[in-house]
Amino acid sequence: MIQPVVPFRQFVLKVHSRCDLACDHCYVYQSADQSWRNRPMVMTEETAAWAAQRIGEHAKSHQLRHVRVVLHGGEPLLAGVARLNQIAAALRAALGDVSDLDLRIHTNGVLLDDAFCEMFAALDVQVGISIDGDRAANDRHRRYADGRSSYDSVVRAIGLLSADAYRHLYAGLLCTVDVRNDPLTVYESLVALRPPRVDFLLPHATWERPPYRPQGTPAAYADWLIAIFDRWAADGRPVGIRLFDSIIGMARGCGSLTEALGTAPSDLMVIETDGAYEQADSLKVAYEGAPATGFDVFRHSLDEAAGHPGVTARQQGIAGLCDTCRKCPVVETCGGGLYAHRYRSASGFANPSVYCADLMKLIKHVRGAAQPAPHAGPAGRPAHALAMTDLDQLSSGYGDGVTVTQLGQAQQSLMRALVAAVGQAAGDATWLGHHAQDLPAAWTLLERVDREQPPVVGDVLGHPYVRVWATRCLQRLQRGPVGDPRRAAALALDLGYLAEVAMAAAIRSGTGGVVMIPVRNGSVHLPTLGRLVLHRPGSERMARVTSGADGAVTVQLGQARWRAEAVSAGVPARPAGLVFEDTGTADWQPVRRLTAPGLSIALEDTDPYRDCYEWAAEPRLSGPLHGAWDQRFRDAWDLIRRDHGAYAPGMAAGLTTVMPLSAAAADREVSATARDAFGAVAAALPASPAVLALLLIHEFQHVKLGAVLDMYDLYDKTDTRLFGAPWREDPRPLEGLLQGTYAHVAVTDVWRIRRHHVSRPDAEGAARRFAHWRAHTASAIETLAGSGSLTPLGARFVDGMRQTVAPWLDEPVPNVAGSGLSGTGSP
Amino acid sequence: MNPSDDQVFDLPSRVADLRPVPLAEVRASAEGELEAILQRILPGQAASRVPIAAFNSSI
Repeated sequence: MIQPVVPFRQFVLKVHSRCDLACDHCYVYQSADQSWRNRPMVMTEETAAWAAQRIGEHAKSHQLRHVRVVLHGGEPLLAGVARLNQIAAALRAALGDVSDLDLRIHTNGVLLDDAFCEMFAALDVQVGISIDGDRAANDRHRRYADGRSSYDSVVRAIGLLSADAYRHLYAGLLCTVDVRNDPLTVYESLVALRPPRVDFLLPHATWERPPYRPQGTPAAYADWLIAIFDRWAADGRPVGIRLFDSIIGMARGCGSLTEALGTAPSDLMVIETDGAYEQADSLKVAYEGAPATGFDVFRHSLDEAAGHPGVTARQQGIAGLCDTCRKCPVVETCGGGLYAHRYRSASGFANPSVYCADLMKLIKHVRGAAQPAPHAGPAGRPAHALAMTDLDQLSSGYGDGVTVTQLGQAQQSLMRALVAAVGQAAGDATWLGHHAQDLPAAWTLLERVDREQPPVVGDVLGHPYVRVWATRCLQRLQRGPVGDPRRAAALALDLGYLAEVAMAAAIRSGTGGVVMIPVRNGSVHLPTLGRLVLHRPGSERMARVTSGADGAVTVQLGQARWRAEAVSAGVPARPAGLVFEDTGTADWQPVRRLTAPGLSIALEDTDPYRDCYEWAAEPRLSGPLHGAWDQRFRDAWDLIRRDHGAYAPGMAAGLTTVMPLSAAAADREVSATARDAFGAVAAALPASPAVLALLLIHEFQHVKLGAVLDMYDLYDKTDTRLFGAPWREDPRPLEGLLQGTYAHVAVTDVWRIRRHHVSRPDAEGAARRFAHWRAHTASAIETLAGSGSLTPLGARFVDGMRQTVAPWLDEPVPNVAGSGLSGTGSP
Repeated sequence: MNPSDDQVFDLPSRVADLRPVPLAEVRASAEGELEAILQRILPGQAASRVPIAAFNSSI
C-alpha cells in the first residue's frame, strides 16, 4: 500500500554539465540560474550508481511498470562512450526486474559516431537530436563558441541515425522556435530529415525576461506555429509533431504528450551531475537556484524529494493555476503552459504563461481545424461520444437520462462487436467439430433478423447477460483447442446460447426460423423471454425450436412437442411474451417485470448466465415473492423519485434488470453489479423500500461508471498497485477504488438527504452514516487524485466527484461518535 | 467547474459506432473497430500505457 504521493516516472540524468556548442538561446547557460558553474563536469560512476539505485528502489516501491530516463546535459556525449555505457548499464541493471525502462539520450549530435551508436544499440538507448531547421535557422543560435556553424555536423549525425543499422534508435528532432525564421522553410527542412517525431519548443522566457516579439504581433509564436500546422495538416501529417498531436489528442480525451501543455501532475525529477535532485530544469530561467530541492541521491530517497513543495506545486492540476487560468476557456488543454514560463518576480508562478496569447490562439486554431476528425474511429467510422458537460455531469455523481442513454448506445456497439467476434471465433475453431455443427444456422438466423428488424436484435443483445456470455465464450475460445471432451461439451453448451439469442430475436420480431437449442438443466432458454422447464427432459440434449412469421412457436424434443403463441412480437419497445399451450408436461416461466409509475424493468430469474456475481443467484421466485419484489420496487422507486430525484432520470434510462440474489447471510444487505452486465443490478430482497432505494442507487453508480470506462481511459491500466479503501480491509486496484468511491458519493448523498426526511432516532443514525461516508469518500477521492495514474480525463472525473463532496464536508452534523459502520447501512 | 470551450467540446470515445453496421458485415467491414473494441473491453488483454507528458527538452 502506498501513501498518496505522485510517483516519479521520468528522470533526467545530467550526465555532463558542459557543452561543445555555445548556443545563445540555451537555457542551461544563458539563464538566471548559473548553478552549472559549480557542478562536476561529468557524472561519476558512483553518482550514477546511486542514481540508478534510487530510481530502482522508487520504481519497486511504487510498482512502476514503466520508467523513462533521459540522459541529458549540457551535452551528454561529452561524457564519452565508456561513461555513458556504465550509466546506461547501471540503469538497466537497477530496473531490469522491476520496470520497462525507456532509456533515451538527447544530444546536439555533433559528436555522434558509430561507437556511440553501437553502444546505444546494445543498450537500447533512443536518440533525440536538437536542430532548429534549415542552415540559416539553425545557425541563428546553434554555433560553436568561435562562431562556426554546427549545421553540417548535426545533419551528418542525423544521417548516421537514419542509416538502416541505427534507424530504430532515431527518436526524433527538437526545434526551438525563433519567429525570425521562415516557418515553412524550417518545417520542410525538418521533414526532409525523415524524423519519427518532431517537437517545436517555445524559447524559455518569463514575464521578467519576455520572449522576442516583432512589434505589432501579440501572438507571433502562435502565428508561426499555425503556419506550420496548416501546412502539416495539408500534407497529411507526414510526421508526428508532439505539440500539435498533444492539442488534438487532448480534444479527444487523451493526455498531453508534453509537459508544456495539459494539467497532468508533474512526474519528473532531474538528477544533476553532482547527484542533486532538481525540479524541471526549465526553472533555471526563473531565478538563481529555482530548480533546487536540497535533496540528493546519496542521502535521500526519491519519496523524500517528492515531498518538496516545489514538486507538489506542479502536481495540483487546475487547482494549482492562477485565477486567470482557471477561468480560461482552454485551460484543460493549455494547463497554464510550461510552469517556468509563468514566472514573475512579484507573484512567483501564479500567473498565466508569458506565451498565454500564443497558446490561446494556437489551441483554438488546432482544435478548430481538427474538430471534424475526432469523431472518427480507427477506420474513419464515427465513434460514440459524450459532450464534456455530460461527462462532467456523470463525474459529479449524477447523469441525466440523455447521458445514460448515450452510454447505453455505446454498449450496443460493444455488443455487436462481441457477438460478431463470438461468431467468428466459433467458426474459426474447427477443432470444435460436431460440437459447433448447429452454430451456422443460429448465426444465419440472427443475421437475418438483424437485417430485417435491427432494433429487435439491438434489444436482445442489450440484455445484460448476453455480454457476460459473450465474454466468457471469447475467453475460452482464445485459449485454443480443448482436449478434454467434457470441457469441449461445456464450451459447446456455452456457444449454444447463440441459438437461444437468435431464436429470442426471431420470436420477438415475428421472423420465421429454426434452430437447435441446448437443453440446460432440463430447460429450454429464450433470453429476455423466459424458459420452458420440461418435467421429463429425457436424454435428448438439443431441442428443435421453430418460430413462424405468424407468431407460432414450437419446441420439439424427441417426440415431445410444445406450442406457443408470441404476443407483442415485433414491438421492441414493449415486453414480448409467449403463451404456451398447457400440456401438463412443461412449465413456461416467463421473465416477469417490476413496475412502477413510468418504469418497467425485468426481474431476471431465468437466464443461465445471470449467476455472475459474488453471491449466488436466487432460483426462480415464487409468485408471492415476485409480488413482494414488485411492491418493494414500486415503493423504492417512489422514494428515489421523491427524495433522490437527481438519480431517477439516469436510472430510468439505464436500469433494465434486477436480478435476485440469494437471501443475505447475517444482517447485511447484499447487492452487486457485474462489470459485463450493463443495466443490471443484483440484490437480495431487502427488508424495506428505503434499503432497496439505497442499494439501487449505489449499484447503478457502478453501472454508469463501468460504461464510462468502456468508452474512455480514466486511469493507467498498467498501474497494478493496490490502494487502501476506507470501506474495505483489503487494498484495492485503481479501478476498484474508483468504482467504490463513485458509488459512495451517491451513498453519502442518500444519507445526507435521508437524515432530513426521517424522524428520531432514525435521523441520528442517518446523520451518523452521512458523517461516516462523507469522510471516507473524501479521503478516497484524495487517494485517487494523488495516485499519479489518472489520465487528464480521469483527473477531471475525480475532481468532479470532489466538487460534489466538498460542500458536504461543511454541513453540520450532530456530535456523533465513531460508528463502526460497515456496508452501506440500513436506515 | 468553469464553463469553458473545453467543456462543450464533444469527447469522442474509442468505441466506434457499429449500430448501423449489419451484424453480417461487422467482421468484414469493421474489423479494425472490432479489434479495437475487444482489446478495450475483454479482460486480460494487454493494457497499453497512457502516454506520459514528456520532459519538454527531449524527444
